[in-house]
Amino acid sequence: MSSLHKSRIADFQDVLKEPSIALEKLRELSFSGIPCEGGLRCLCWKILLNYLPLERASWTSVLAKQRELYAQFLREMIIQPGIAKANMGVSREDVTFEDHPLNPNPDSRWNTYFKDNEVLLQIDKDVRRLCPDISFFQRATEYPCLLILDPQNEFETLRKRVEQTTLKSQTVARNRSGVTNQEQNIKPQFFAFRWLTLLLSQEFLLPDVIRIWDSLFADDNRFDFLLLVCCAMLMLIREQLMEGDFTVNMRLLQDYPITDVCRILQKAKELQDSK
Amino acid sequence: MAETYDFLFKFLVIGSAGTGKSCLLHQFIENKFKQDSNHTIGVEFGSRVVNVGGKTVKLQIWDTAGQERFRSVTRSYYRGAAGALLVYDITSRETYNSLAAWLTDARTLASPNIVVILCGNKKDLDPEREVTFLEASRFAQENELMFLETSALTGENVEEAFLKCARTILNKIDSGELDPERMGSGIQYGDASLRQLRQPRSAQAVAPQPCGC
Repeated sequence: MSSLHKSRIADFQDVLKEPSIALEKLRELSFSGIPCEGGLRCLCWKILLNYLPLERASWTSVLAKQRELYAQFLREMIIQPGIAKANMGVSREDVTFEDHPLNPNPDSRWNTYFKDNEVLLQIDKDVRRLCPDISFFQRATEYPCLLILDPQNEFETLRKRVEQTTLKSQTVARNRSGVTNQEQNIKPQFFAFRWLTLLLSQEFLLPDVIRIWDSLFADDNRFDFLLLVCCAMLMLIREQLMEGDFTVNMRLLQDYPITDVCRILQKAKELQDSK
Repeated sequence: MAETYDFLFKFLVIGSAGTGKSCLLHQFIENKFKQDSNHTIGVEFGSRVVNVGGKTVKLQIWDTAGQERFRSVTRSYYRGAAGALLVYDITSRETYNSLAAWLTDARTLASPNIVVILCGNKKDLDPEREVTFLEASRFAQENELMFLETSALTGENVEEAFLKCARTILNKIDSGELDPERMGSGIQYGDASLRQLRQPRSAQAVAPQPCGC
């Protein structure tokens, strides 16, 4: 490990051991990338994303509370409905007027329940194919999954709203504000829609995406900086874009040619400083 | 980089999520099946120059997201498309049932004259079939669509679907039913056809005058 890297880690540790975290200092450090050693990144992200408060002393209790809340959501939304259905299934009552598995009524709780299961399967499929080369996505995570996968709770379900949380209309509205307007009528929504909605996660390799996110999360106005990163991406391939026709340019924008994300972030920082 | 072609057609690939739209495009362009295909976010592009009835045609293909939540944004991609592959999954009745809604979108947002080919994809999964060939071909007939069952996995009928759609558009241009010069026709002349258009006139100009003697 280089001495420079060591001193960076030390800088982070210094900031993080204060009884009350100096958020500005942490933001400044994180903006240039967080070292992944010793769980630094996940701790910094938690603070930057307001998941943990700035007071160190309350971390343990807040974390315990957050996890209990999460467990409670799982019980309410996944496990309880499952058990309720299982019980309904075993009791042999007259179901003519009650809700039952073959009830075609869209209000049927059974109906929702089956749809929820489809969503669960879809999420599972999506996670597995996200980055098949990275083992993290091929195994169950340690903490919350045990609760869901408890064999006692055979009937698993997930409220449909989970599916919706990933996309906020806000983001769509924002992309219409327009990053650029070029000849050939290449509209921002042809490429920037994906850039913005997925915070660039489909444009670069995962380690590079995480590096970009360090800067995004560190920024006070995180989504303003995202726009600057997108602008920087366009500016860096400006020459190529001026030469290409519609098809060539769309390919460039959908399969972004520059892999050096530091160069892109640097350019975005320049834009920010020049404002 | 300079390609010559007679025409450029804007094509859409539309239909419900998970029917294999991106895989059809990938198979058509790369001649390979795309494993682990992700959900399309917004739109993806592909292009290929094909030879149809002696003409070279560049297909500019817009592969749209099928997920409902992207509907408002995908609609903005439809404008001025000349052709569309309307895709459902033969193993999912739900995707078949939503065809009418997709078709309405295509005809109102792209063009009432858009040439549409219905593709019943995942033909290779015949044991799990939920929609019969006959039923879908009736739907196609009632709605004036062409129809093929395709498999992005094996490649069966994939090329045919795109070519059939392109051929029909060319025929309509020849018969005068489609006017490439109309705004939003989704058809552009390529370099090659511009040259051909210019040639007769210049040929006339330099043609030696018949000798009077």
